Amino acid sequence: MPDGSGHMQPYLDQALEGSGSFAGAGTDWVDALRRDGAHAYGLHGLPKRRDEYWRYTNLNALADEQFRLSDGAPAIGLPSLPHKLVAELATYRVVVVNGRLRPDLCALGELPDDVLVSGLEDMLTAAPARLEPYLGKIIRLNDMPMAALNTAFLNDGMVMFVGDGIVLDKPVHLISITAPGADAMMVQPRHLVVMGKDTTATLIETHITTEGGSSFNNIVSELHLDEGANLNHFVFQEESKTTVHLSGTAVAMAAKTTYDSFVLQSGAAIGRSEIRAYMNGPGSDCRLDGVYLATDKQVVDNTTFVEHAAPECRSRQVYKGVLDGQSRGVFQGKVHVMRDAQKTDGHQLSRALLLSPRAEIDARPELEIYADDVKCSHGATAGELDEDLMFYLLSRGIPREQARRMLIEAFLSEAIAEIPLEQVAEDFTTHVRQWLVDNVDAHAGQDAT
Amino acid sequence: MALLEIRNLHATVDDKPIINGLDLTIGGGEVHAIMGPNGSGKSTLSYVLSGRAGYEVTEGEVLFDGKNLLEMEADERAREGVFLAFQYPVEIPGVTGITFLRTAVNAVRQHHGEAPFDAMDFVKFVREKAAGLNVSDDMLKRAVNTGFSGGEKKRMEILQMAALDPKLAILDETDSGLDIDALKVVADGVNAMRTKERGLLVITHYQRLLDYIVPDHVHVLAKGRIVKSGGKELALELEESGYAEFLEDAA
Amino acid sequence: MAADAEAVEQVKSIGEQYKYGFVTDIEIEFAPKGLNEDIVRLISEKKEEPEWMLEWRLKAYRHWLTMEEPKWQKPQYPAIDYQDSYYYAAPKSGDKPKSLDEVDPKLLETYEKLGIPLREQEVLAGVEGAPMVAVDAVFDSVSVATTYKKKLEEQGIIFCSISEAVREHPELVKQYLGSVVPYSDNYFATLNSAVFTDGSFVYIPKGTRCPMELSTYFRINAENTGQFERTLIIADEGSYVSYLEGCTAPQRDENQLHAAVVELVTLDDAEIKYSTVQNWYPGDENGKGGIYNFVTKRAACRGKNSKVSWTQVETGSAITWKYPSCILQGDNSVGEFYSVAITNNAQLADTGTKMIHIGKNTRSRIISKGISAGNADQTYRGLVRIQRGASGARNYTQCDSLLIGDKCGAHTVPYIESQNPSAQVEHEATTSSIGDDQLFYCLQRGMDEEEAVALIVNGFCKEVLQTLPMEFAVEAQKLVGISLEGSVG
Ligand SMILES: Nc1ncnc2c1ncn2[C@@H]1O[C@H](COP(=O)(O)OP(=O)(O)OP(=O)(O)O)[C@@H](O)[C@H]1O
Ligand SMILES: [Mg+2]
Repeated sequence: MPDGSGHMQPYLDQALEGSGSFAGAGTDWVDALRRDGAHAYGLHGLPKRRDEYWRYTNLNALADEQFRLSDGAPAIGLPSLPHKLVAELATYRVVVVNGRLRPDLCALGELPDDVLVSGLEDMLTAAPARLEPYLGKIIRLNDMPMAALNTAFLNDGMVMFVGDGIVLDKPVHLISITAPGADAMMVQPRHLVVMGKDTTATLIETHITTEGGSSFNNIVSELHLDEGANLNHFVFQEESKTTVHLSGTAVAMAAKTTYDSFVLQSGAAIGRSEIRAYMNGPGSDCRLDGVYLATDKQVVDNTTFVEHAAPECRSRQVYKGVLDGQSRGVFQGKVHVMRDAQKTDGHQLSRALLLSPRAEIDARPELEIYADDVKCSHGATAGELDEDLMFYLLSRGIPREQARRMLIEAFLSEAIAEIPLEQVAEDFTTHVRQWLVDNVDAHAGQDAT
Repeated sequence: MALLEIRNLHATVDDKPIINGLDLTIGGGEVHAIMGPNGSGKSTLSYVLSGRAGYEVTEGEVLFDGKNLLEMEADERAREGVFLAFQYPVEIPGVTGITFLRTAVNAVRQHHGEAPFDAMDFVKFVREKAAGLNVSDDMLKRAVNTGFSGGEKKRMEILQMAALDPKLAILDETDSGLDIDALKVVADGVNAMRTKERGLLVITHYQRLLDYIVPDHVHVLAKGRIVKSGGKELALELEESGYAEFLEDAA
Repeated sequence: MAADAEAVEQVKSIGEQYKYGFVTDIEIEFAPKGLNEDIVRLISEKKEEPEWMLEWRLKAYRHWLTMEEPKWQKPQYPAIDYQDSYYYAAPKSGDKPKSLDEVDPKLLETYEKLGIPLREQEVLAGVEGAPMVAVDAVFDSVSVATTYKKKLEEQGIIFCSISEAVREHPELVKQYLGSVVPYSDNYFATLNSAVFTDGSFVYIPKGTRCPMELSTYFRINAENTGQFERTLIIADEGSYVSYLEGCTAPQRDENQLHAAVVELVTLDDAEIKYSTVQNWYPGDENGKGGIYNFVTKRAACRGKNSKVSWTQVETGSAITWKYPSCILQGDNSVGEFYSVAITNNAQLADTGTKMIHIGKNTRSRIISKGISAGNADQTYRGLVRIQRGASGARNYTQCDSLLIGDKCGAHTVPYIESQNPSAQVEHEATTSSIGDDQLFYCLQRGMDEEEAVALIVNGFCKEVLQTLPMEFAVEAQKLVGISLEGSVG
């Protein structure tokens, strides 16, 4: 729907139409939150090229409003998961199909007392007061138009509360399934994680798509880390190539917290992971790593924003990507150090390998610094495999295709090596290896010099 | 039939002629030493023989075991048995030494129709070779050459040579950067590999290495050609007289 | 850091130390204030321009009317009233003087005071043994003198004001003017295309190595005057020239606009080295007054193996907005950008470069050093684009910021776009303060804090300063020193 100023606000109508039937309708603050979302999205419209944070990722595919909001979770069973080790891992399993929690597929076993894992819809209906201090509080709607749209649709997703002092014994595995029917379908899942003081937990997310028509998955996650909380967060984004996958995550970090995130993206037609970490308390540590693999006409976007608002915090980012076919990789990362954030230590690295003459990488690593006693740096590289390394391997008799795969894997390993959970690291590695066999070998040798 | 036969070799890098009509024959079991001033083309010769991209042969031929070496890709040459110990071994972050070596050794074994090593057997196989060269398990577990000292890198090269068991080994200044003890270790490692089939081409600047690895022939390379050949005593002479005479000759 | 408070104090005093802030009392002829087609026609008439030049200006002016002034996130500045400015101001000495003897002595005195030699036997003030430098001196809207013209002409080198070039060398101007920066390029470049008054023109013929440094010295003197100079340099096949540009303005409370356009063209195997020491009046420590320096500088490396090297030392202006760029069209062409920017008090600078790689094996190198003090804010903004066909292209970017005091800011925004797998792009950036350990090390060796800071900052900038021609390097180093005087101890 274009407004007077000519910008497009597709899907706003659907949000407004649905708002009366979404969970918690009638609760004032919930209604207000959705309204704020609709308002912010309405003002901004669908992101365009001249929006700094959307310069390289074109959402024209969404403009003609072909996607209809999914009308609930279809009765599908749990599909087999692509990652063997993680699938076998003892976890608390949460399954969301088309943005709706499916309690029948969840396996929560005996959750410790004072840990709550539930559906957002249920909570909004049964205990909205518990959500009120957190829900919608750290998404800056004006900075994240697509998260604003999600907020207008706010209805269901996963909610997790971890009470003070708890060290969760098993990871929580959030399996997010997009299950389109024949027609183009849209889902707007909303997740909320609230970590109490001195808590530790691991959250693994797997995003997959079942067969069907095209889909648009617009996810928002809000993560609150109270003092001394530690959250490990691993994401496998493996949606089908007929999906537009946009994920916006905001993390509020109090003092002495750690947030350790790793995102592997190899799926989706357009896959975007946007993480905004707000380091509000001193002595915290934020690590954002990622690996992306793209081929054909995929667009893979990793956008980060780390706001150092408090002194003595550290942030580290390493993103590595391999681009084949006509794919495009995007890395936009910003480290913003505010006046009072003295002794900040911030580092950012983006490296991309281009395997094909039609692939493209666009990187914008950005530093904005207002405190003088800081150490901040970034680096970015783009290119192909190092010919000297290649020759060394060849000269030892290793065939070219194999040498290529070894070198690409080695290139990515710097990011993967940091993953503290062994099974996840191994699944990531296996996944990368398989992707290389499926995609890179297919045209190896073409580049022989 | 000689193991390696180079006839009238001309090669360029970036259109710049570096090797200018070089002839050299190495028979099985022979050790040849090449000496020559900086920039005379020694490393270039080693790269041309091992098939590095960007080194273009403009004239001449090279037969290895009777086969046309120049027609083969770099990896093929290696599997056929040409080994180069690099003057400057590269670092490969992210690939452990042991994985690297196993991949290489298995590629060569498969080429010869032998069964590849499994991980366990391979560790045993390498440990045996490594022990003699003072290469620790730790060095093998680390990424290839990454953060290694100059001497460690050179020992790693010799370990690779021992593991790959080539027919022809080219050692490009393997002695440079080695302390006295390491020089001995490396030389012993190389001598242990002297058989009546294997050929060795040793590039060096110093007579000292040749005290340990005694060559059958010594050649002087200047401006891309062999300008003088002799027995091991030639190395001693060069130590005395330097290269001035050859530089003028070739000019 | 202990030194900081003092460093801030010291840097604060720089506003008062602007030593080029005097006004030359000379009769000036102004065109009426404001901007309209008549003013454009008047400028063209004053310059005795041919019809085609006027048409080009009018085309630009009409286009400008359709454009919107850019609004950046930073720098932000109060709206400029384009009708409240003079677009033409010239010393009232009638026609351009034929020889130096005819130049108004007050003007000569001005340049003397600025340390710019207009007498050919002179060398740049204070530098012994400096090589010959030919100077084009631009005072407000006109070029008042160009030295060594005769000597240069002997080799076929054309060095004159752009106004003269329009009259005397129309074929060259027609061919190249606007060919690198089209009249429609951006708001300020378009404005410049409509009302540009003077600037320099250089043509170096095939195979010629220009025997001396060429230099233009820009001086804004009159009040409420915008300066819109236009420079065009063409290096024909196999030629080389080193060109220097310097600028100052009096200390005034109003902001003045300087919107220049510089176009460089290099053909096969040619090289241009372009150095700037920009020292426009920066305004006082509260941000009152100062020059708005909105400049479009761009080079087209059209020929194979051609090279353009930009070096800039930016210490002046209230607001600087400037991205000297290279379009690397010719195979194997090279673009370089070396920059030192010092901002302080209330100064704002948004500067950087664009390197557009089109030809094969094109190379670019970007070294940017930003120093921010006081309440100043500085942004490095750079684009490196490797186009599909730029096989074997290489870029290296190093971009460092140094913060002195806790009220300033540094912002680094590189855009890196690569469409060719065989291209290699490498970017590194750091932001830091002067390390306690570095400072202590110097103190321990007997330096006082002021010396130590000056030493460290000069070290920080060294890579860039040493690319300047010798005469300029000395001036630039002094400038860096001045901005740090009294900042500590
Ligand atoms: N890529 C290249 N482009 C241009 N010239 C090259 C290139 N590689 C090598 N050369 C030149 O080729 C010549 C021979 O180099 P080479 O490395 O073979 O010498 P060398 O005999 O091994 O010397 P040293 O004793 O120093 O190791 C040198 O002049 C060198 O500069
Ligand atoms: Mg060598």
